[in-house]
Parts: sequence; structure tokens; C-alpha cells
Amino acid sequence: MDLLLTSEQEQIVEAIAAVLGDELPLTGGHPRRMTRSLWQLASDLGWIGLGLPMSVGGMQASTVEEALLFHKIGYHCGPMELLFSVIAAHAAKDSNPALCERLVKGEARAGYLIGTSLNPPWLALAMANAEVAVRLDANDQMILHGAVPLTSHEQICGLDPAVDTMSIDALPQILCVAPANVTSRGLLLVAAMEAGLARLALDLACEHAKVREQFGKAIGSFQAVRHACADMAVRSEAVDSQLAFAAASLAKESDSAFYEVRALKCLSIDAAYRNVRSAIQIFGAIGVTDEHVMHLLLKRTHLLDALFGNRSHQLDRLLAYPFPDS
Amino acid sequence: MDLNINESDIGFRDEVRAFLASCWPKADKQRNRSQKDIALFRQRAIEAGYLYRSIPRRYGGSEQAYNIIRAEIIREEFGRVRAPMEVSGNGTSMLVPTLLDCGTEWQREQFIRPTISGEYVWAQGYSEPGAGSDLAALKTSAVLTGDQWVINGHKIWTTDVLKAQFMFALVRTEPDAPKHKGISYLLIDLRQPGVTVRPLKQLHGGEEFGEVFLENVKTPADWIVGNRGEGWSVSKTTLKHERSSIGNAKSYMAMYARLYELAAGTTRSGLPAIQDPVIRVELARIEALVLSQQYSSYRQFSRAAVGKDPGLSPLLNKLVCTGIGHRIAALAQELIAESGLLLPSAQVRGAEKWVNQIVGSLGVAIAGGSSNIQRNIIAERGLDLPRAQGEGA
Amino acid sequence: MNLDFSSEELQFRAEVREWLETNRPSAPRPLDGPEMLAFDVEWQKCQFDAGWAGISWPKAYGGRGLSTVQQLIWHEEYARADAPFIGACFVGINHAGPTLIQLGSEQQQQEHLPAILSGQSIWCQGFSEPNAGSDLAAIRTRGVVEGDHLVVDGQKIWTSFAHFARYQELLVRTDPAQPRHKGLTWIICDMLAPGISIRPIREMSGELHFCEVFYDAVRIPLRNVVGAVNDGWRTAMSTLSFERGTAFLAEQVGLAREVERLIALAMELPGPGGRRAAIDDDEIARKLADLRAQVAALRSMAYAVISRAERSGSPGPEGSIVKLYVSQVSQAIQQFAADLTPMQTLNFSYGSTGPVCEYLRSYAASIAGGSSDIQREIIADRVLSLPRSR
Repeated sequence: MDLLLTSEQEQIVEAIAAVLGDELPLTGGHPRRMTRSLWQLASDLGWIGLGLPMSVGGMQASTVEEALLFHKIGYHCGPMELLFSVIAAHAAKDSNPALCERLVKGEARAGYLIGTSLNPPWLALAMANAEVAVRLDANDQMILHGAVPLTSHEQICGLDPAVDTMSIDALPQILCVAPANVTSRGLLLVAAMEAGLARLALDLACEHAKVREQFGKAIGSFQAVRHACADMAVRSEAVDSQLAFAAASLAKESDSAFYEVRALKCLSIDAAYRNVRSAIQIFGAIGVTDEHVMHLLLKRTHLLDALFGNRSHQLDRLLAYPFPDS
Repeated sequence: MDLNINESDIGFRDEVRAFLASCWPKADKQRNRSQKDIALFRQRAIEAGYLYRSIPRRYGGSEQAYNIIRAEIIREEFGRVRAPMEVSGNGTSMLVPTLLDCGTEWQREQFIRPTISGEYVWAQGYSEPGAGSDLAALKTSAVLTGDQWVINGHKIWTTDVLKAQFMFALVRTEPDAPKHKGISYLLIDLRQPGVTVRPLKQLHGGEEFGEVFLENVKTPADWIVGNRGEGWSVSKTTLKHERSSIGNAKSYMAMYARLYELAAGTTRSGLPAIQDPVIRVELARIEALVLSQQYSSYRQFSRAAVGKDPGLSPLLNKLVCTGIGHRIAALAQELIAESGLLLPSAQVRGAEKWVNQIVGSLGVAIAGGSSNIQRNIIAERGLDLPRAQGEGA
Repeated sequence: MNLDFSSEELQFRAEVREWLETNRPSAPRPLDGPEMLAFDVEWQKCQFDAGWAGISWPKAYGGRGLSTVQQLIWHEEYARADAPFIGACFVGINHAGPTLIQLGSEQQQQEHLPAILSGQSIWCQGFSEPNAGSDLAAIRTRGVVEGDHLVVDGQKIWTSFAHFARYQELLVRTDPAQPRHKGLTWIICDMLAPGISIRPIREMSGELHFCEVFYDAVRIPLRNVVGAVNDGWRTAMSTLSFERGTAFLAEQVGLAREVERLIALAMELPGPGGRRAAIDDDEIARKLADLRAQVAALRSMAYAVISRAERSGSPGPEGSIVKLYVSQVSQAIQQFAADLTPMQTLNFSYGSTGPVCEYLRSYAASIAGGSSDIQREIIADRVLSLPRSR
């Protein structure tokens, strides 16, 4: 048993961080949209196919490496398009390997449809250039849909400025229903992004608390601020540890993997909201402008929360599982 | 304790109702009234003694005897028929009381009348990039040169600066004095060269704030309120005013009512959300919080009416109310679900307008003194705890 | 990163499970008094005789010399078997023993370690004083060197099991001229020495563990000093960091089992209004699920800290994070339990055991071993490197 990264995994994380640091520096409040160069890099570096078999052009790594990737993407408030493509590629892996391979290469792109209900309207994310879309239905199954017909949508203004959002009144054609483990993989990766985002909020708040001075000293020396930061650190440590445990459970296809992932998702969304809110308070007025990066964290948290059902939904599902006793 | 109102006040309520019935008829409620209609109504209300009661007639007020019960009756009755109240904004709520307290006769005559009529709009120039929670650290300087002040510096989080012609500002005039003693309260005309205003967009898209760069900006020597170096204490009255106005429970009552409607009108898994036990419990908790804040404000109000020390309660208002705002926002978020991912636009479709509350509730916790500063104030002034080293309240 | 245990570890787990199943005491642990002491000592001796005491202690001192992972497995199985709280042996096994292993002289180790492991000698901790709580470095109990003895005058407080203990790890001020953290000495005090008087303090849970200890010219041989004279702060910190780093290991499994017990209970009990089972109330159900998620995270944090300790030999400052989280989670669980069975909560008298006692005891979780606010300070300093507040 070892819950820390291997040196190989550490290298992967460093490489990802270096690319994201160059492509998506953490300065300013402008949205980090998906760029052509990032698509290129993501496919060159094998990010989308990281956890997929070589037969479809993947890297054959495990959910652990995928979780590390999305933790970093979350940490950079990075584009959602990568997540959607990875989920779609896993959904298509068995039933449509050709599509899967094109997704891995970045030739085909995927969006996401939000809405478990049977009634319109549904929200479609990042569908502008996407030829497929993934959706979680009311039974927690991932469904792979075709493209959204251009006539059926209404472009609207999304809360998260980095993600194209539209409202649709008809669901596009269903291509396939993904195997059950795609749902838990998707949950894991969304949670990884939330965990990364919670960690980012903590780091930004601490950095600010060290340099911002009021009353003649750094605000990080005031206990009200220090203790808020410590509580953020506790939440991040809890979530990152559970992320490692859940990712490793899923990688070894353990019977309790669903349980661990669901527990993770309950914790990660809570940590993301609370750390972001706490960080905004520490930043003060700067934190409520759209000129500083904090607003992107808040809006992204709301978006991530909506993808796989909110916290109440996760809690209901978690309680329904049997307790995994060793 | 007496929650009843005595007979003369009941008679007063009837008077107000009769006035409103004749000057602000109900039938007109739907009709769009012009600015002119509104100005005319306000003028009549002033003549009748209902608005600007604490402001002397010579400055355009109605100069009524101090009666907090009657003031409350007016608020209730005007609110009931949505008749225009006093002009809102920094000018009436902050500058005018300050001028009445500390201004010169000339300043009162010059500024109060156009401010309460809405002609003059004022920006509040307090915070600076290096002076937020620690307001007394402000650096914007004013030097008296001949018969005018020359001002240089940078103000930020300046409310209403985009529509204001004037600003009341705290500036450093005595650079050698200790930090609280070197500040003066100046009035500045923003319509002059050297003033650069830049809007600051907030995370929900609103632009109520701006930053102001002041480069050799001039203001006459007698546009100072209070004496040189007394600006800190001059400003104290107004800051207190702002903090307590945020603490008013009325707006949260209305917000709760809308939240209740939202819960009743939202369907979840085929059932009205309001039948969901978890939603019901949280609604009940929020209602209890709003009501308790309402009762606390009655208590504060009763104490003020008989001239008693208001005690701890007013210091709690802001913290309690921002807490209520957060809970309302959290429940609204749960109710509107994915509609929360839409930004409210011109063609607001309904649920999305809650996004402003959800996202905006974070800003309220910072404006007018951050929550941690509020806790310091409660600890020091309310609970007599020893002052934290270097943490001024 | 992997969750696999080696075949050796799996084998170890099987052995532990089997032994605990047959040997754990079946009678409930007495709340306090000599019966409790006898119970704790006998159970410790039973583990020692069978070779299960000191899993990770070096073999030379009577331990098993096994890995931290094996220690974790022992704790997991211990909780799984519902084996009793370590009780009076706590300080010896978890504080004094590890400190002596790290910093004790050969003679001190030979004299004390086997006796601690076998349950033969009970230890207590003399750190806190009436005016030195969160600010431990404010200790005023004086130790004056006279010849080859230290003569101690002063008072300690919150000393668990002082009235049963044979030895005490005692921290005293030996050089008042030096700055606060300097000038302290860590010494082994024989509790039978003349000049010591003890007054027990009853806790709100009804238990009688806490004591005040008074020292009136108590003479302690200088050879009992661990570390060096005036270097006691370093010795004390090695104990505290050990406690903060690993003491939670025993707790996380127990807390997870407690949550499952509450879930089972909520299925049987009527809920608010009395019509349906408590678990059919969404608010109760979600609270239980939330507790499940928290204990899962606690387990993962424990695994992460153990992984770190296996690699680097130390649990790291993250130990403080776990300590803070453990106390929050355990209080949340006990408070939920008290709310779930309000009638049982009101049914309490001194001497009763069970959930009410656990609930009342849980308030100490965020105070003992460094209060939660002190943990936050440590996290702010050592994990986040924020500018210091003091």
C-alpha cells in the first residue's frame, strides 16, 4: 500500500504542470478558453487517450494518471473540453472504436448535455464544434449523443465565461449507452478538477495573505485569516487523499470503487465551494471583480457541480451503497 | 415592552394613508410615472412632513420633531403602495448627515438641497489599493496651495463613481501626524481635468464600483468638512450609518418571500420542491433567521426611540444579514439547479435572476467592512474583549 | 500509487484477526477506578505475552520491529474486533515509550521499555499547568539542580491517570534566565517520590481520569533526565509530533464503524414525526452519508500519512491536519448520535457508559493534545508558511 505518487507519476504531473503553466498562466480574470494550440498539445502529449488502450491510440495508463491530469487542469481553471472528450472517448471505446480514436487524436470533439430530466430545455456545453455529446441520465448512465442540429439551439450567456453554453429543446440522436464504469470514471475526473480547484483557491489565498499588508503587517499574520487558510488546507488534504484512494480503487477495479468515488465527489464539491468562498473573502474587493482570477474559480465550481448531479444527489447515492468492509 | 402603537400614532398612520391616497393613487401604480411626477410627489411629501424629516426647511427638508415611530410608519405606508421614498445613494445616506453634523452653514446651503433632490450624485472616495480593511492607511494626499487643495492619489472600490459629479473623500493632509490624525474629509468636483475614472466590473457583471485616479485635482479651500486632521472622526458617523443600513431585515424579508415562491413554483422529481422535507426544513430555518433579525431590529428601534444605548445588537446586523444572504443564495442554488449556470440577460427567463444573488452574496460580505472586520468590531466594542494587536476596528 | 497489501501483510492481517477474535476481552471495560486499571493492565499483558505489544517498536526493546503499514493493519483489525480502548497504558505506549526509544539512554530504555510494553508500569504526562495550556512554553514548575538531583516545586494539571501512574514524563523549568523555550528539562519522575500529592478532577462524562499534581521539594535523580538538562523542549516536541502524527491511526477505523452503527440504528429507530424510520428522513440520511464521506477521507488521509512515514520516516506536518480533521469528524459523529437518540441522551448518571458518555467525552477531542486553534496555527506556520502571528 502506498498512497503517494511514484517518481514516474511525479514526472507526469510536472510535465502537465509545465505545459499548463505556459498555456494558461494564472494571471488576470479573463476566461481560459480552449485554444487551437492546446488541442494540438493535448493530442500530441496523449492527454485525451491517457487512460485508453493503445488499440485506439491511447497511452494505456490508469485512472490514477487521468485523475492527476484533471487535478492539474482544475488547478489551472483549464478548459472543460478536454474532460468532455475523455468521457466521450471512454463511452465510445467498445461500441465505436473509430470514433474513440478520432476523439483521442483531437479530430473529433465532444460536448456535454446537462439535464437528467425528461423535459426540455437542456443545457448544451461546448457544442459549437463538437460532433458528439455526453449526458448522464436519471439512472446514472452515461449516454453518448450525436451532434446538436444547428437549427435547434439558442445561444445564451453561460455563467462560466470559458464554456460555450446553449439551450436545446430536443436531445440529439443517441449513439450508445456507455458501460457503467464510465460513470464512475467521469465522476472521478470531475472530482479531480474540483479538488484541483480547491487546492488552487488555497494556494492563491495563502500567496495573497503573505504579500497583502494592512495595519502594517501581512494579513496572513492575523489569526482570523491564518485559521481560515488552515481550514482550507484541511479540506484540500482530505479531498486530495480521498482522490488518490478513489483513483487507485478504480484502477484496480475494486468492488468498493463506486463507493469511494461517490464519497470523493461529496467531499470535493464541498471543498471547492468552501475554499473558493473563503479565498474570495481573503482577497476582499479584488475577489469580487471580473479582473481577478477568483471569479473564474467560483463560476467553474458551479459548472462542475451541475455535471454529475449536485451534492444532495451524491449523498443519496453514497448512502445507498453497502459499506465496504475489508 | 410594548409592541402596540399609541393612539396619536394610529391617527398619524391614517393621515399618511390619506395623503398617499390623494397624491399617489393606487390606480396609477401600473402606469409608468415620469421623473417629473416623482419629483413633484417628493416635493409634496416634504411639504406634508414625510420625507427628509431630520433636515431643516432652509436646506429643503421638512424639519419634523424626532419621532422614530412616525418615521417607521412612513416607511411602512410608503412601502405598502410603493411610493417613492427619499432619493437613495451615498449623498443622502452618508454625506447629508455628515454635513448636518460637521459641515459649515455655507456647505449645508450649497450642497444639501441639490443632493436630496437627486440633482447631485456623490461617490464615496474612501478605500485605496493599500487601504481596505485598514482604511486609516490611506495615502491620497491633499496639499493646501493658496486658496485651494491640490489632490493626488488613487481611490478604489468607489461606489457610484460612474454616475457621480462629486465625491466626498478621505485624504491625507497632515503627512507627519499619526495615521488616524492626518486625514481630512474633502468634497471634490469630479468634472475637471486630472480625474480619470475606470469602471471595475464585478463577478456578476455589475459595474457599481470604479477606481478614480486623481492627478493635481483641485478643490476650493473651504470644501473641507470639519477641521484639518479630523476627517477620520467626521467619516465615522457615515460608516456607522452604512453598516446599519445593510443590517436592515426588510430587504431580506422580501428576498425570503421570493425564495418561498421559487420553492413553491419549482418541480423536482414530479413534486413541488416545497414538499421536499430538506427544502422545507431549510426554508423554515431561513424564515426563523429573517424573523429573528426583524425582531432584533424592532428591539434596536425601541431602544433608539426612548434614547437608550442600543448595545451589542447594531454591531451584529451586518454579519447576521450577510449570513442570511448566503443561506438564501445556497437554497436558491439548490432550487434552480442548472439554470444557475445561465447569466441573467436582458431577456431574463426567471430562475437565472437568482444567479445575481448567489454570486453577488459574496460581495456583500466584503463591502462596508469585511466580515472579519465586523467580527473585530463585535469583539472589541460589543464584548469588551482586549484589542487584537495591530487590528483596528 | 497503489492500494495493494503484500502477501506478507495479508498474512499478518489474517493472524491478527484470528488472534483478536479469540483473545479480546468479552467483558465491558470499567469506566474508572481500580477495576478499570486492573482491566487495562491485564489486557496489555495479554497482548504482550502473545507477542502483539509494540508492533512497530524495535525488537531490542521487546517490540516486533514491524512496518508502519503493519501497525496500521493492527489498528484496523483492533477496531474491527471492537477491542477495548488502551486506557491507562496510553501515555506509556504512545508517548513515553516512543520518546525513550528516540532519545532515552541505554539504561533508561532497558529499565522502562519492557515494563511499559508488558503493562507493568503505568505512565502519565506532566506537561500542562494552570497557566501553561495552549502556551506550553510558559511552564513555571521549577526544577533546581542540587548535587545529582533535581528538586521540583510547582503544579501540573490535566494529568490523565496520575493517580494510577508509577512514572511521569515531567517537563519543568530549570533555567528561568533563558528564553521561554530554552531552559526546560524533560525528566522521568517516580510518582511514589515524597512530596507529590494528587487531586483527581471529574470530567463531565463522569469519568475520573484527570488530575492535578502538586510537587513540594520532590527530589528526582538527574540520571532520569531524557535528552539534556535545559533541552527538554526538543524532547517534548518529539513526543507531541509523534502523537499528532500517528495517534489517529487507532481512531479512523473506529469512527467508520461508529457511522455504520448509526446507519443501522437509523433504520430501526422511528424518525421525526414517528411515522417512518429515521433513515427515511432526507436530512438524517444526507447527514449520515456526509459522515460516511468524511470517515472515508479520514481513512485516506491516514493512508497518505503512513505512506509518507514509510518513505521518509516521519509523518510530516500534515499530522496536524489529520489531528484537526479527526477531532472535527468525531465530534460531528457523536453530536449526530446524541441528536438521533434524544431520550437516551437525557438518560445519564455518573458512572453510566455508552453513547452519552462517548458524546460528552467527544468535547475533549478538540482540546486534548493541542486545541484545534493551536493545530490551525501549526498548519498555518509549518504547512502553509504564512507569516507568524506570535
